[in-house]
Amino acid sequence: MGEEKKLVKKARSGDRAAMEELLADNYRIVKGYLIKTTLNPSLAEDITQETMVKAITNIKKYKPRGKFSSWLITIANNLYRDYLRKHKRESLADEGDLLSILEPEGDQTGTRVEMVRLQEVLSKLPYEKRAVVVLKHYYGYTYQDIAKILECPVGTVRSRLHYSLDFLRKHLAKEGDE
Amino acid sequence: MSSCRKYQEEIIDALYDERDFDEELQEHLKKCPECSQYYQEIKATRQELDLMSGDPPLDMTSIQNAFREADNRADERKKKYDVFIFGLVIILFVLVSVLIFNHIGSKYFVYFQLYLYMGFPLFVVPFMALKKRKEGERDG
Repeated sequence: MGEEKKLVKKARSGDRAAMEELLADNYRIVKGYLIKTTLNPSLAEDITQETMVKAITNIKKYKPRGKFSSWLITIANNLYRDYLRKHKRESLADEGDLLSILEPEGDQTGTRVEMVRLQEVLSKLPYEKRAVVVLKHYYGYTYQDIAKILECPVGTVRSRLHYSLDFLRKHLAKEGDE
Repeated sequence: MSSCRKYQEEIIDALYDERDFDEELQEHLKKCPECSQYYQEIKATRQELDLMSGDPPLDMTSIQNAFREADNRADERKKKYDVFIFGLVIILFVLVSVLIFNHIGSKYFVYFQLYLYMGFPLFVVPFMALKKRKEGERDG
């Protein structure tokens, strides 16, 4: 964290190399978060790019309060919200698109089938709830951090996680039985 | 909220390190088969979620493109700002000229014009040099 703070300080004073290092350190988290939340790799690519541009443009306005990745994810999240407002509905990727990008461990057919099933069940969750699951499960953010990123109360984050895990538990078990 | 529902929510909080698996929760899990099964199922769900835990590889080209795009947008903004300032200066110049011509007379208007054209480079040349130096510093 200390190293990150130093980089942020340098980047805020106009050091391009420091900004580049910060973006490189957090690129995979931001793009990974967007792929898992939007379930659409090409849209995730576009939003990641725009997030980086906005971060470079607004770095002087950034007040370091938590992890730098939290700020980037907040920007990414606002951009995705804008996208949803304009397009009214989510456009999800075809099965298999995520498989090639998220590199599942081992490439046995069983793992791939399970991953497609997981993608299907996740796509049934509303975006706000999916975002909570992704931030908590894959990136280990605290309820407080998630509340700041998604701009909602901590209680809402907690209830969304409980609802989502319950939903995934029921649907993954049901679809596994079919 | 039923007590089992409360414990089931606490199971999720504990699995995600938002609270401890305290004695009360552990005791309840030992006694309640429904919650015990729920605990196992949530653990299995978490394992299924782990299938998608990978992240895409780092793409430095994408970061370089972001810098280029940010530079382009900054240049665009600067151009718009320069046009705005230019327009403002022209309007001010015309207004001042009209005021002088109408209120002080044509003789002073000519003096004003002479002063302006002769003095103009004295203000503008150092200003442009300073601006160029600042731009040079910005671009490294």
